[in-house]
Amino acid sequence: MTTDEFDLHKASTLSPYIGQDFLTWLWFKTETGGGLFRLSSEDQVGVHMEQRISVQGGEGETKDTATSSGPQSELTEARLGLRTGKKVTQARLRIEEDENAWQLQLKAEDFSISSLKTPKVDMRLEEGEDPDARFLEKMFLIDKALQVVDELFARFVRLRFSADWQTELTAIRNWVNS
Amino acid sequence: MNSAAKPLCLALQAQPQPCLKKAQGGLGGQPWSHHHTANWDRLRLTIESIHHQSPVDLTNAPGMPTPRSQ
Repeated sequence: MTTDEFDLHKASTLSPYIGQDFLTWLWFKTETGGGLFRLSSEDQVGVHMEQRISVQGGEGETKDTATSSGPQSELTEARLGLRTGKKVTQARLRIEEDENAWQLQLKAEDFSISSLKTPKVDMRLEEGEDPDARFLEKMFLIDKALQVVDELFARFVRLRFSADWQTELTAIRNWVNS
Repeated sequence: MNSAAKPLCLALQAQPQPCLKKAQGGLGGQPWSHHHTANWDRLRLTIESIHHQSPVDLTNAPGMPTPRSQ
């Protein structure tokens, strides 16, 4: 990809919607691609949309929100909303790596992350153990989740600004209508 | 708006209907709200990091949680 393809004017025009588009794309990738992503570190993670996706349409008094809170197979209702112009406003993600799992809520409007759950860290210290060790482990696990979100977003941005976006858009359209 | 710059909520509709706030116009539109500024900062930081092939540093980016808030 050349630098020219990153049109900052286009980027600024898209920015109000980039969070919504990112979550829509991620939802599409997790359902059609098995949710497996290889990170730049060569680690492979599984990413799944879990239980709760909100889509919203209209504004003000006509605002209409549909939230699916069932298992993945029951997210159909939220997906149907995409056909009528609803936007993904937030989603709960589950990230898995080996036996570790993280959960977090990601809001499209401002990229705020909430309800972040890391793999459990046993805070009881063993004899002679560095008192900072468990705290640092917890910080590492939080950082790991944020890294995954960052890498996924960077991957989306590369695609969004490349000529391949049209192909991806066709695939997303087919998925929405399937 | 050309198709490459079209948000998905417009691009995915079978029969396009308005799905965006008029006030959300980009350059030349209404002033951006805090949230949209946060979106833009995140997008710009990511684009810059891709240019420089460096990890995204979002330490001070809006919307990012601090360790204290976990």
